[in-house]
Amino acid sequence: MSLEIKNLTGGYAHVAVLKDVSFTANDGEITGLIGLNGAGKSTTIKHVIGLLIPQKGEINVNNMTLKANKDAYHQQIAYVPETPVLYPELTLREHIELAILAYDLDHDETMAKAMVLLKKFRLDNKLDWFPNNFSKGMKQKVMIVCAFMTDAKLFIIDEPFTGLDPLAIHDLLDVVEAKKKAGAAILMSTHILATAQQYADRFVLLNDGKVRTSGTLAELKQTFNMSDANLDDIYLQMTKEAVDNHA
Amino acid sequence: MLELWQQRLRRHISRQFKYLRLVFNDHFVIALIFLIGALAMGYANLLKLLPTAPWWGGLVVGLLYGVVLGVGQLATLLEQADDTFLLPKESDLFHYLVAARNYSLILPTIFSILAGIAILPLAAVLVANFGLWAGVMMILTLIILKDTQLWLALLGAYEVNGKTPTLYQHKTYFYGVVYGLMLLGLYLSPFISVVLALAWNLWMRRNITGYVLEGQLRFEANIDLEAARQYKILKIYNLFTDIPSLQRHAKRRKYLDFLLKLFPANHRNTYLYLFARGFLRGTEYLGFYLRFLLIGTLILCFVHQLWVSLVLYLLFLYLSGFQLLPFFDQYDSIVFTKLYPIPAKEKLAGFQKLLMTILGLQWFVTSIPLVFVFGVSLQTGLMIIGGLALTLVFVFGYAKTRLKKGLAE
Repeated sequence: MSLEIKNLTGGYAHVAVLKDVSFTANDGEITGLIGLNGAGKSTTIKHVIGLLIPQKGEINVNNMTLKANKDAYHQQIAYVPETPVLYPELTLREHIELAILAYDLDHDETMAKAMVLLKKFRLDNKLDWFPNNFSKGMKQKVMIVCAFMTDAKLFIIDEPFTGLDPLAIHDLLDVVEAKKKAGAAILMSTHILATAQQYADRFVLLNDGKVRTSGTLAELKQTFNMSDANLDDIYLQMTKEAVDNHA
Repeated sequence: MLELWQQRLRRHISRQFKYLRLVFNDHFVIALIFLIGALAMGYANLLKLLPTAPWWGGLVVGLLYGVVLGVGQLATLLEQADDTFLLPKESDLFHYLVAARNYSLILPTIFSILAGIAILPLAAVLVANFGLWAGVMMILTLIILKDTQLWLALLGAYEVNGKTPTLYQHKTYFYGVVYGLMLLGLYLSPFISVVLALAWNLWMRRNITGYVLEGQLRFEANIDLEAARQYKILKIYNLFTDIPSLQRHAKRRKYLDFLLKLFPANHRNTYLYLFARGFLRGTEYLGFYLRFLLIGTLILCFVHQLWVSLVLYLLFLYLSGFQLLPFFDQYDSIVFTKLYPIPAKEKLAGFQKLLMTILGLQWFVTSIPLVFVFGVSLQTGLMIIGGLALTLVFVFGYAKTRLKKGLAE
């Protein structure tokens, strides 16, 4: 078991966005975090990486908590944010080197891993450029390279499919699949349901700050009593429920 | 449209006041008083050394007036979204821009008067037959020329058939004419400058409406210009406080890369790795540091009073370090900096190493003129030791307490 969230209540400065959220993301699996805009996907992720402090509840990564051991906790996590943010004054190569220094990785070995990834994402000829001037998709690729060259146990990817070209999406999924086979846990929030359905092993459906349901696609179908539905249908069903509940 | 302008102006001014309150904090005001006092003394000393009415006097004074005219741009307060939202209102926007132009004249007018007064004693020494009235005439000329320049800037906001309007749009031509007018005033009669400047101004005004009616507003260029102007202001505020909206720019400066080798790249130096590159390639701190270093060294070469020299020597070290403190928080908005598995005290340690290197270099360089001016003696030695003591206390005492507050939050 890698990531375990237990009864998490939290949000921004006393406004509880998340109410009693519990789910797990297992090693060797891709967990899809699915929900409408404002459902609490990014807030959940911010809690996991430690940008927000839980009001109630607990978050464990391999039985470690942020509170007990901040640095060891962070050492296990690699994160790709939805909006790419980069250091304006660092070149692409220096971004990689900085991550190597920060996570205390072996320089040559990690650099070799990074080069493979850079080639895959067609960035290997831009090592001495400032990535801050790249297009959004290319910046996102830089973030992906910096995250996936590490030996993190838990990879968190916030909405990876918008902004990337189809080829890059394919390459990203390749890379994610490889990490999954190597035994890492992957938590991925997204709206692109067709892709999520194809690649994620399990799903967590968030609605209005609560976990509506979670499980494999087969389990979701059961919960919603929709035997031959796809993720799209289930998502729409959940949306309808949400509207009905508000009415 | 005028309502929109007034609304933006109100918001702009209240924002400026908010920042200015932070700029003029106690430290800075004290440092500023010292600096102005020292400059005034230097100015008075300089006047005594200058010859009376040399042939080149007018050339120098004219140049100074030209520099004064360079202060202040057209402030349009246009915003990024305007090319989408205001596009259908393009023709109405002219009234907005005229209001903006009129407002833009206020601060340069005040500045022209103050700078004109400051130049007066110098001009009285360097230029023959230059009295109070001549000074007033020259200030009047400056204000009229500023008015002309702002009309030109307004014209430059438009283009006809993809071309910008007049020759004077180019700085070289404009300042060429300005310098010519100044020289006429200084060598013949200031009265001529006023009359010619006024004639130019009226002729310019007559042509504007026709041009604007024909022309097309260069939305994107104007928005970029305004953004660049705001950036310049915010950059100064950013020395005193953290401006969240400030988008930073970076230059590669590959020729400085050799300096980075000073700091070994290892896990403990992670933040130093980041800070050193940010300092050398950012457009904010390096420039100010070099200016402090250069001006400090130059001033110390010319000051011969021991106490004044000591105060300035320490003041420049302090100011240089002080302006660097906000750099500590530069990367806090980048999420990765928060996720690094590195204890917070390492960040402080990395920053202190950089600060010590930078201030250490300044201490070394600005000590050199002290040795030349006051000779190798006990008092020179004491001054230099005092400088080192200030540097150490600043980096390991003052900076530490100041920045720790930020770490705790």
